[in-house]
Amino acid sequence: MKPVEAVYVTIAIIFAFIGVARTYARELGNTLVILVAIFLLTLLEARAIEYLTLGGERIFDVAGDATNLFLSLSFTILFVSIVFASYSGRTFGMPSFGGRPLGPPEGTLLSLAIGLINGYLVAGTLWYYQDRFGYPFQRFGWITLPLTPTGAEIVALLPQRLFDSPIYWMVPVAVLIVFLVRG
Amino acid sequence: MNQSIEVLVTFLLYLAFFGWIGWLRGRRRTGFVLAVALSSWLLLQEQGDIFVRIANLGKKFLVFIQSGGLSADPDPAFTALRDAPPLVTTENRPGFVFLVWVLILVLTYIISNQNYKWLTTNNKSDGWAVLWGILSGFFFASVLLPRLVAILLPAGTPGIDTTEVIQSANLFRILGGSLAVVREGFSNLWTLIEPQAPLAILLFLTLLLVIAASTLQGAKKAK
Repeated sequence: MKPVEAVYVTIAIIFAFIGVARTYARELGNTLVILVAIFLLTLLEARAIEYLTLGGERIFDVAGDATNLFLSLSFTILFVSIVFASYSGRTFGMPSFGGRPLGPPEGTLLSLAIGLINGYLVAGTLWYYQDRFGYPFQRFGWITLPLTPTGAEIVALLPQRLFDSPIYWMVPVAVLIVFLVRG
Repeated sequence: MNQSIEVLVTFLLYLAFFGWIGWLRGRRRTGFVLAVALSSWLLLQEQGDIFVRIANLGKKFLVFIQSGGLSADPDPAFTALRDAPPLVTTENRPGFVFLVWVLILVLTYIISNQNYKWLTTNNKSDGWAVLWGILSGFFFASVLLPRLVAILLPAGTPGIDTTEVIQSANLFRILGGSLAVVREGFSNLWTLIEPQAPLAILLFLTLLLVIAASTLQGAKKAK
């Protein structure tokens, strides 16, 4: 089995290629939504865990070791749903930033950079919800522990662990909203 | 550690300078110079003997003329021709080939500065111009940098063979060395800023988003 970081770095690289294909004009809208999702999910994490644990016990009879798997899956599905909605552009109706992106090579490089940022945010969040709940997917043989030294270094830089408070993620959100509103 | 950051900054400054020159001259002019410089260098490395033979023939012709080859009695001229040493020998061949390349490069720059239609049409100052400029910087570094070593370390410096330095340098070695400089420089830079890593990452991400969004703003206003 490959190291954990190989899986999530691959996901990030795939998002980078998606960014190049869609161009950064459209990717910036997704960046905005993903940042807001990370902010809200991190801010309300403790309460969400409380309610999900209760709901899992009462509705699905989740208990013991299965609780971590249930919580990890719940957060992952919720986050992936938000990301999917932002990419499909229907549920939230979030417009793209519009405007004409620069042509190659500057435009391609910018699209790659924004795609990588989105990849870091998405893959990093998926990794966080594994790490937060003790890597429940390892029971399926999908992940091999312990983490490599590189993996341990990257875990400290995941979006949810980067800052003491998730409010810092609102800084780029505010900047993007200013650009979006100014038109 | 500080020295590697110094080398990294110098290297990036060097590339930025060539990128800026490319931007100023436009992509057609910059691309033309790069294409001619690169192809002529490769051609001279592979088929430089052709120019060596031309130069030696030229010298023999001059010796022939100066020795009265076109006079009524050309015999002394033939003797002089037979005894004349070649202009370009095995020892000075690399230097001669280099001088031929420099001559081609100078002529190329002169031609590229003219306002010919094929040079001025679609000669935009854009990312391609910067890219050709940066690639030119890489290529010129591989050719000129080893020779500049002689300024700092002249022939006779203990432990340094200037000739070997010049002959062992090539584009791939420069590329490999450049990657090592960048890797080590950024690694040491990261060590310096690691205590403030979250803030640095936040600033970097925000700056990137601002740059991307602001280019779109320009396009919107144009509409």
